[in-house]
Amino acid sequence: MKYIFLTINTLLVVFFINSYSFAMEKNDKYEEINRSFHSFNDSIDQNILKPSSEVYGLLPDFIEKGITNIISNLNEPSNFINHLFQGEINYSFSSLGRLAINSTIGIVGIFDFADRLGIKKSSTDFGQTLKSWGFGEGQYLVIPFIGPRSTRHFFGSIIDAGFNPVNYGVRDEDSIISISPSIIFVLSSRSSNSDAIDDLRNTSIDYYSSLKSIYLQSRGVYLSDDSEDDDEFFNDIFNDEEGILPEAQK
Amino acid sequence: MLKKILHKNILIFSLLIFFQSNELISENQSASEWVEGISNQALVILGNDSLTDLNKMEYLENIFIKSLDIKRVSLFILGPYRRNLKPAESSQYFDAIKNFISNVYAKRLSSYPSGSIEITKTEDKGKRGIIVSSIITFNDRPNPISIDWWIIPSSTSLYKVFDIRISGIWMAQEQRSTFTSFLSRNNGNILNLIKKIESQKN
Repeated sequence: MKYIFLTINTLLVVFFINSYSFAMEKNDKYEEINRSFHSFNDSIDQNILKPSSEVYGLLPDFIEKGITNIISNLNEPSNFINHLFQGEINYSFSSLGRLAINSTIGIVGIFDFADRLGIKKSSTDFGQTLKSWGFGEGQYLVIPFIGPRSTRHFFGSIIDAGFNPVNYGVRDEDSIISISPSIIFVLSSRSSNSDAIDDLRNTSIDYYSSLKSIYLQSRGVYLSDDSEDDDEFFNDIFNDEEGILPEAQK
Repeated sequence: MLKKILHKNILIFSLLIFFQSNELISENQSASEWVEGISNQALVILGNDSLTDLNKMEYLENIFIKSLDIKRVSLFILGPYRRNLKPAESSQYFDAIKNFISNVYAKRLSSYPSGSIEITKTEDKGKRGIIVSSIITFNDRPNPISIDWWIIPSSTSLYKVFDIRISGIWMAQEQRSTFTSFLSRNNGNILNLIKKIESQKN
């Protein structure tokens, strides 16, 4: 019941978020505070997550794979409901089928039998549902301990938490800090993307902007802050038979 | 020891011949064949266990230096700040970017194992070029990845790569976000950017 009220409240708040779409690059109104949280998250990553995930990475591959599959299976109720809300009936029933098969034959999700049967995973979330209902991205935010989120995605994540059975079945309501499967998810995710994260961190001239760009691209947000400038760029340069540059720069 | 060095040199020589011959036969290639050729060059390197990680990086970097349209990419990633690029500093900027971008792309690809490429779609974007979509299936990883290649016709080598999208992320777009952000925090000063790029390499 408590959760239903929270859901309704959240939806009302989301309702008041700017609901028109606009280029997200310009939409970093809280950049300075976002950068502070980004530095905080980065220090958590480097000092706690990275070393912990290296230890986690010592687990045999089949155990890591099993854990990843269990976590993935726990997201299927959210996928099922959100695909349904988005009117994607086929994907919705695929998610339900995957949940049923992997939770039973796949032994609580350890084995992804559904994939072997050709029922492929299709991930979505409540943020995407809000998008399909016409809500704009809102502002770009960096949330402590969580990382990049658009306002829409952030509120969507709160709703999605309600669709994850772990939040009901495993959570210890009396304990503020519980051994949550989400911690394992974070370690699993950090461990499997370790090289990519380190390479990005080492090669980027502005790590904050790289993460922002990657996050926004992964959410399907149009990145250019100036589409007229894009048109001018492509017209200038691609119409140039010689190939390339304004005269002064050849 | 001598035998090992000899073997390594023969291998490197063979790879160079392979790249060279690929360039010679490129005249009649379609966009998808051209992309397949480039990808196979990279996959051969990634799958070669006798090369060190450093060697692999160098070869991949070399592929990018040859295949990327460095000047177009360099201007694109400046965003609106490209108008600030003065002729006097442009060659310094292009030189810095050439190695920086090739190095970044090579580093990011060098962590992948070898595998095989399948071209799934080719989309003609008119004057903006061609998008060739592909799936790379790795030899020892269960999940394939999608790579889209944004290529444009070139007078020197049939096509050049303008951007690469790995698992949904366009790399030049990402670079543009970082470059424009850096420039906006440095009053659009491109010399500061060049210094930053140079320091990043070291």
